[in-house]
Amino acid sequence: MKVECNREQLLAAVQSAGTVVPSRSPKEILKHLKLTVVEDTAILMATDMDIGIRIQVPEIQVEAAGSVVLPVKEFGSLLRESADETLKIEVDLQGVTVRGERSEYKLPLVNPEEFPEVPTFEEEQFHELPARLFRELIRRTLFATDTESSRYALGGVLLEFADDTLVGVGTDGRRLAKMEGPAKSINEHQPGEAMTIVPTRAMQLMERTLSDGDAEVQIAVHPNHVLVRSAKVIVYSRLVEGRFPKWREVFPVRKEAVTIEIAVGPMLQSLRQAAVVANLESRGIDFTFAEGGLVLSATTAEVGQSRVDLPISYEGNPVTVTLDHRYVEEFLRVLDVEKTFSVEIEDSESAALFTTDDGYGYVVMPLAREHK
Amino acid sequence: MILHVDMDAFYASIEEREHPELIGLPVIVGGTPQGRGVVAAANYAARAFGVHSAMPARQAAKLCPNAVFLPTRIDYYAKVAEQIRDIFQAFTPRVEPLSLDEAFLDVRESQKLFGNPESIGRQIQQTIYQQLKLVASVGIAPNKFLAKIASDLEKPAGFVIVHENAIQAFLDPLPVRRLWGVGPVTAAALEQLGIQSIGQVRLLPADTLDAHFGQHGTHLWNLAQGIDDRPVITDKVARSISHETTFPVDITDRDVLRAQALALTDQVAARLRIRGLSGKTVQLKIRFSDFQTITRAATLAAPTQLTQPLWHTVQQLLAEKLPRPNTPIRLIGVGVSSLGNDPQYQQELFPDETAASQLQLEQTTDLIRQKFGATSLTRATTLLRRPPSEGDINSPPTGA
Repeated sequence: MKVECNREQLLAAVQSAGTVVPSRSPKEILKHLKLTVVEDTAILMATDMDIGIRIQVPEIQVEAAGSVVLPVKEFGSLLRESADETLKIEVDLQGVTVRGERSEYKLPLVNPEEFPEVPTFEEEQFHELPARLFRELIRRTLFATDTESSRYALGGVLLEFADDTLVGVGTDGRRLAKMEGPAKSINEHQPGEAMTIVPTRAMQLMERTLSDGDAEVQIAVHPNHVLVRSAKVIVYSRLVEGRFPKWREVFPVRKEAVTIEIAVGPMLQSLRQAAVVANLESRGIDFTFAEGGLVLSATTAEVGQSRVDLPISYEGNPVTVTLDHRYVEEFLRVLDVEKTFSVEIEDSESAALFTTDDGYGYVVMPLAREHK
Repeated sequence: MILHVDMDAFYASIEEREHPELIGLPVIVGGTPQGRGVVAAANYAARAFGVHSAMPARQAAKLCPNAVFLPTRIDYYAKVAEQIRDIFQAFTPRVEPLSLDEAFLDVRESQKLFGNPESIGRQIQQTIYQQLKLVASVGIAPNKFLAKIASDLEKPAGFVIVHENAIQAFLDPLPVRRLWGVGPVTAAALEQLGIQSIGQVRLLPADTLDAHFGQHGTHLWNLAQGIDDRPVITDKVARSISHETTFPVDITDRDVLRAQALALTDQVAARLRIRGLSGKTVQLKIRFSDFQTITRAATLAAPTQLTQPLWHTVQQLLAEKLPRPNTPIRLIGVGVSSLGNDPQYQQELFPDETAASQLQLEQTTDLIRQKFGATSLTRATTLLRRPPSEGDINSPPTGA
């Protein structure tokens, strides 16, 4: 193999692929990346056996096709430290040589055949949706997952496919984020009975590797794994085994509850002001809706009290609900500060429902004052 | 002056009050006549047969075949304890509860309102009897250590005052066992030095005890002088709530240790609930037979005032953090700290099935233990250990 690459383009690909590489593994080969050049297309691969990634590396001049396995740590440093615009990579029987204008590196030769297969996307059936929507779906659900939980299913985002929609759900059991949008089923792609729970880490990787230029993403679901293709990247991930909780049962559908529309920016500001006195032990903020507005207040022993007024139009019986300020803040942070959202509150005991007009819903269970 | 108010046969007296037909009969709370479990409390009629708390129920049943065994109703006793606390609070806010049935009261600032300490002590004793039909013993002394001895001296319905100028006369003739921290083992060790009374300890050079017992010896020597400057610490300012037990005989059987730990955890949790407090840090204290004392702590994900999660953590500490697995243990303590009022309890969207079933399991376990005794239901692995036998309690202390 003999190629000349744009250093920055290659570095970006190595950094993306590098997030998959396990920092500790008994399998030495997994601490490597594989670069395969066929004709004039170069693909960089990494896997930890649970998640795999194939990234197309642009701006590469091919003199001779072939494959090379490179140690992620040293090769990554090399690319970072180098100041060259392009680097030449050459593989012969002696080893791997990387050449810059005034620098040269020799890396040991590793048999590319030893590198585990990283599945590629050769699907006929899949769901197709706008990349921008998928990215938004990930951003809006990922933060609500719980990778620490002993309930492994909560350590991923549930994807539910219908003929023309995709629903993503993330929850840690205390709050739940749900995002849905249009997605086309191509060639009658329809996942089976098994739940499609994609590990948080894989979702994060997908979000990171999607770029604004991408038009569409394609998602193909198999019983034990999922494949996602965007313009330049294919991500493979095993699915989380386990049962996702029956989220539809807890997602409030109320006809009577009062809905209040609030602007994101001012709400975030008020919330952060009220949370000044909150701490690890006392995370609750009282949200009191009454005629004339919303009052955010908090009291923490030995710290102090806060009270912030947010004028909104509200006509109804006063109602107070105590919510963990972090949960509300995390929701507001994934929204555009210029936009508005709606809050639906029934009473202090029931879940608060936050929604936007673009398919996003967020349910937060309140803090109770005392144990039952 | 400090008051120590100690309820006489508290659990058993409450049961007698609730079941007047039992008055005069020997009553044992905790354990079963079939000999399961451990005695939590015994009334004076039962004590006349030699029954005492922490004794295996089997042995108690043998000593006192006609005893009436009742299950422990810790939540109810906690409620009564709260009523007693209210009476204390009427006389002084400076109340330090030691357990459900005893407390220290600092009455120095209440004298203008309620009279001298003796008068306050009498009023408290009478009020408890009039309002709750329960008998308390009262000890009044310049410090906590002396007050605690005084309340115990003439039980039941005792009332003993130790004046500042009579401390030595009060302490000197008492056996060393009265000193806080002297159990059978230390007593035997002191006896080998020819020491039986507190007066003899007082006259020893300070460093003699230090040489034998280390820091603990200095502590004993100070007590023998009648020196104890620990203040009365109220729950309101308390940073932690803890209970501890020194065993009559050092314990090696971890099954018995677990039962004791559970009882202590139950008491601590009851105290938390009474005060409306929740704690986040659980602490386990162990003193081995050679006086090496260790503490191990763990932090919960969320503050709690429930027995179940606390017990879960105590068990973990016992199982995982206890060094020297075969060394006899003379004292165990359970404490909860990082306390806060007004717990904000995060509600769950979905019932956590594993946690819920675990809770159910623990509750069922608790119920079974409550009904049939603390060792009635144990994990299979504990069966590999020798079950607690009467010999454990009865055999004379060995070693010094």
